[in-house]
Amino acid sequence: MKSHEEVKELLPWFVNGSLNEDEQSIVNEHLESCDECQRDIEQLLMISKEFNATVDIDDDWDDYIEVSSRNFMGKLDESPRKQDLPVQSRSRQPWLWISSAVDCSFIVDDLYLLTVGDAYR
Amino acid sequence: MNSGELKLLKAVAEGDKRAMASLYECYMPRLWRFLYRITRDSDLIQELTNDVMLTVWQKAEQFRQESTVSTWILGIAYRKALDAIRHQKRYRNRIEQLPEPAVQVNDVNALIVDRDLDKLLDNLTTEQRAVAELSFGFGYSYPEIAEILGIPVNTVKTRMYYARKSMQASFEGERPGGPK
Repeated sequence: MKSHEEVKELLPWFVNGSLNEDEQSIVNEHLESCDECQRDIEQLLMISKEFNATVDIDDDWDDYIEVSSRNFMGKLDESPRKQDLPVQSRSRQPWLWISSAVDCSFIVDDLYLLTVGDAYR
Repeated sequence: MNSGELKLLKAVAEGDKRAMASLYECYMPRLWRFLYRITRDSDLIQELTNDVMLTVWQKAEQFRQESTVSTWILGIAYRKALDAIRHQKRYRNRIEQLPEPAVQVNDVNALIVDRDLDKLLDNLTTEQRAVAELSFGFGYSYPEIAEILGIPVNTVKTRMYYARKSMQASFEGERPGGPK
């Protein structure tokens, strides 16, 4: 059994028809004997009507959606998703190992010249 | 769950751009309406809609079907809208840099702006407007709204309580002889 206050807070969702069956029957039962909640329902129905008032849609609206969609799709090409970028592990890129080995050999050469090279001058 | 939207989102997760275009076109009217009702700023909507759909594109593969596609997308939209409201200046700068759209809708506002409803929404907070729009405009249940907004169900009920109080006061204020 729900109190008057508990039922009252369910009324907006009674009006939009989204309560489950149990809650709906509790509200229905309460409404039979509660004038205040009946008045609330009337007001909530008016509020709901305002939210769903149909407004004439501009003829250009469809074109606008189409153009916006096209512009948006253009932007997607400029910002690819991480998962769409090609990912290759280092082991699949043999040139990386080769270039690293060449780099290392240059570093070793430089160090050798720095430390021993003076003796040859 | 809407199986058509789920199929589209699965295709988007696999990188299908045609599916993304369909999803964009399918969601744009809903997003415009939702974003306008909670931000009440028609200039922000285009940028926000694109931001939301870009996140959908990037995160589609993370969708786990624990919610419906629409609650997931509206949840993203809500968080983006809150962020935009908090960082109005940053969004304004981005909007100013956008080119004019190739097609101008004579009155975009006509689609989403209802002056009578505006009066009702005037005194609500962003959070209350989101709860009211998702309930009355979209017909969601309170557990679904809790899921979209990422808040407990009791918070949904509390926000609705204050939103109702404020909207009822607006209604009564308009009645002849009602309080001003």
